[in-house]
Amino acid sequence: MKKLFPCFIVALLFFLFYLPYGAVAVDGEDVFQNKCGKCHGDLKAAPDFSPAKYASTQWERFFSRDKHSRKKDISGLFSKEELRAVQDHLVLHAADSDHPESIGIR
Amino acid sequence: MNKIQHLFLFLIISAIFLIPAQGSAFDLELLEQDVEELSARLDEVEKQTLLDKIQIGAEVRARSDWYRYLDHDNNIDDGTSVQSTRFRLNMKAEPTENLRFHARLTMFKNWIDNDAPGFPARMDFNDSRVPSDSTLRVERAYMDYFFDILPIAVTIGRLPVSDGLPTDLKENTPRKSVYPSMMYDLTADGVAISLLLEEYIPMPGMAIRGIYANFTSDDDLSFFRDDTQAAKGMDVYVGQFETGFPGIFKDTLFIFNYLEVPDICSPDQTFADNVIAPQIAAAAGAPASMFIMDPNASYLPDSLGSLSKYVLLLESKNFLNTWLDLFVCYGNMRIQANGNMGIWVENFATVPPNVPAGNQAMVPFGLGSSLNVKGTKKSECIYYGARLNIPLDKINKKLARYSPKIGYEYNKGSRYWVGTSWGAEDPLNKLNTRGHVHDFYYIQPIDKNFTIRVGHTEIDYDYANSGSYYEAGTSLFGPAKINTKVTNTYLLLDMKF
Repeated sequence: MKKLFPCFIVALLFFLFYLPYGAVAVDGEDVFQNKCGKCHGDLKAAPDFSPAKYASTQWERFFSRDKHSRKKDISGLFSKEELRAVQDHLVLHAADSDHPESIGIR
Repeated sequence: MNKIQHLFLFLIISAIFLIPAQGSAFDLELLEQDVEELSARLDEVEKQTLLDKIQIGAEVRARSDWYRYLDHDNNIDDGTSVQSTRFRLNMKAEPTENLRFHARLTMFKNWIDNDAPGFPARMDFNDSRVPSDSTLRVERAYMDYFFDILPIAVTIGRLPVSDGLPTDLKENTPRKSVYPSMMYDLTADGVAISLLLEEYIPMPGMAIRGIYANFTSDDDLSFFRDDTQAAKGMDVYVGQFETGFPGIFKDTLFIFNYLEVPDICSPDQTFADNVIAPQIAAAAGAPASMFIMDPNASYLPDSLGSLSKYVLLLESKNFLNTWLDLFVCYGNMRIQANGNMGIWVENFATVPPNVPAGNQAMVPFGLGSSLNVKGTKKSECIYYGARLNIPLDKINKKLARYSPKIGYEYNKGSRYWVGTSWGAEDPLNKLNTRGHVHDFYYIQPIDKNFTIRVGHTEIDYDYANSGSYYEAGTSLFGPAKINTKVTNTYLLLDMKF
């Protein structure tokens, strides 16, 4: 274990310095709130919704069949990475996903 | 045109207009029939949905552990391997806007464990195939009630205090507990109240929680009379402040937790019979069952002293969007012994021939030292670690679901430290350690429902009796300095939905 620890530190440092310059993860929640939220919301062009609107399989089907294009083509508004990140976010927080548990949280 | 021609023309024109009209009426009729049929079907679905109040999920874990033990002289024990199965039935329901229900039923056992229940009629081979008893283990079962007009929630039941933070990183789940695991990681019943400040302060998840739990005295003899052989019971008070953060630190959680036990009672007789009596028997070269505590001759104080503990936890997932999860946790504990020393008196369970009956051994016990020397024993623990989520989707998007996670954790506890983590996920209860612990793990998702984890834990004990407030027998001046090591290497398979 003592030999593994320095390796882990080296890996950590590598990613800490590499990631900010190389490839930072697209934040699905951020894209969902700021880009999806431009149209979806109360008193906006499209109805408000949360990831819990569908189960994870339904969200996967929604994206694989590009169901959004039936109402509006958004391919020009989102990069592929952003769409992927939003899909991951929606699936991760879908109605049937593993939710946090504690006392007094909804 | 004559009248006949006019009539003929009228009929043709009418037919042109009427034929589609009749067709539309026909379609409308069909459509109405369809809607009625669908509506009837939907009523059934809606009714069933309303009746299906509880969502049920299941988890099965198969785990293999390999242990190795090194004693004071660095002699290596041959080691053991243990295979186990853990089954969990998870339930949740939101019957109304105000009420939430959660429960978890658990079976956790070693494979074909022959300890129970009795040869030959009932063994583990047929335990669930023959009539037995009504045992069903409830790990958690609690309900939250959210008030309409106040930002308050009341929680009662068997509370979610196992798998404490940051176990969620190692277990690859969302948060599953109220407390940090360093404070309290076991099963417990109680009542709690939460003041939900996030409704007034723009900090996500900000809340103040107060919890009362109780360690009840053994009531085998009766629940309304004092059981002289039993522990008196303990009141446990916990206060907690927690908050998330907005913006770039949105997946970060801070917790300050404080626990107070005003009176720590004497251990139950079962402790003396199961822990102390075998030690005396071993010293005398006798069978473990030879000695039994004499409750009439023993002195079991109602209170040996008090305990207070606070824990600070900071956990951040996907720290600054770098696929890195980090946490740091610090705990500080004080045990205040009141000088009131307890004594177990051990007798022969069955008096051997030619040996006079009577008290065979007197074993002192207390808090921090077996003499329960009056004073304060301070201890602390530091616990930190990181988990790296390797973004395989950067190489190939099809590999996204297989992105593995690598984690490392370290904790160090001082001489009198007790983590109160007897119900922790790791079998060695590493947060109870009075010494150093290195813990490494690798998580390989196969699917969202199937995960493999391998890990290695290395514990280096600096002081004896890790995991116990009580000291007994020869521990006159507190936990003895030791130099023993235990390692655990494991492989586990998790399937769940």
